Amino acid sequence: MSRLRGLPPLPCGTRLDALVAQVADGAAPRDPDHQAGCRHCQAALARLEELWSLAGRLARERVEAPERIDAVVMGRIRRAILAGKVLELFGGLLPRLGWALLTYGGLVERGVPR
Amino acid sequence: MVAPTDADLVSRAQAGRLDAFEELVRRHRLGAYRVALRMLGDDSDAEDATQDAFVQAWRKLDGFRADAAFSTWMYRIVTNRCLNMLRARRRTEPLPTDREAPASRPDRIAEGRWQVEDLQRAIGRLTPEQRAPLVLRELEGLSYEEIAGALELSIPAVKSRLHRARLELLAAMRPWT
Repeated sequence: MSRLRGLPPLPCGTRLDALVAQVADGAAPRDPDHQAGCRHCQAALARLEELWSLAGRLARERVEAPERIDAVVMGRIRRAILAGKVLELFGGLLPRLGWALLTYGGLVERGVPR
Repeated sequence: MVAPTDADLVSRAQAGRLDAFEELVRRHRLGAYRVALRMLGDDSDAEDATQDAFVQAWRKLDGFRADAAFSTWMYRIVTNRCLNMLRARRRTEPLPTDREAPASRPDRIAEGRWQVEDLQRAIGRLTPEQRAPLVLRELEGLSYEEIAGALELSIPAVKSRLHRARLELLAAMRPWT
C-alpha cells in the first residue's frame, strides 16, 4: 500500500518532493529566498540529507561476490554446449536410424528375403 | 600488454571463445551480484540470480549490439531476473516487525549501523518496480540514461518511478528522521 498520502506538505506549504529532488539530484531550490529563511525547510532538508547520507553509506558498504560464481556459470555453459552438440549429433543420426528401421520393417513385412 | 576492452571480449565470445566470456563474467561478477543482493536482500538468492543472469547472457550474446555497454546490458539481465524472482515471492517477505528497539543493540547504535539496516529493510519493502530504479540510482550510481537502458523504460518513466520510490522510502524512514 502506498504511503505517499502520508507525506503532507511542510507547515510553510513547501512540498517535500521538491526538497527530495534537491537533496537527491542536486536540483536547484524552487524558492531559494524562502528556503534560506524558513526553519521548516531547513529542518526538512537536514533530515533528508541525513537519510541520503545513510543511502551513501549503504552504497559504499563492501560487498564481496562469491568467486565460485565464475566456475558455476562456466560449468553450466559448458554442459549446455555439450548437450547441444550431443543433441546435434544424435538429432542428425536419429532420423536416419528411424528411416532405416522403418525401411527394414517394411521390407520384412513385405516378405522381402534378406 | 593492454587488457582487452569489454567490446573486444564480447566479439571474441560471440565467435565462440569461452575464455573471453569467462573474463567478462570475472569482470562483471561483483556488479551483477551487488545489484542482485540489493534487489533481493538474500545472499543465496543473489548468487542464484547472478549465475542465471550470466548463463542467460551467454545464450543471448548473439543478439547483443556493440553500441551498448556490456555492463548496462548485464544490469538489464540481472535486474530482470531479480524482478521475476521478486514477483514470484511477492508478499512473502517478512514484515518490519523484526525491528528491534535500538536500546537492545548498543553495539550497532555505536556504529549507527541500525539506521543503515532500517534503510535496507525499507528498500526491501518497496515494490519491485520501485526498488529497481532506486537500487540502480542511489546504490549503484547509474545515470538516468543507463537506468532507462537497463530497465527498458523511457527516462521520464524512470524519473517517475524513482520519485515515487524516494517518497515511499522517506515515508518509511520518518520515525527516526
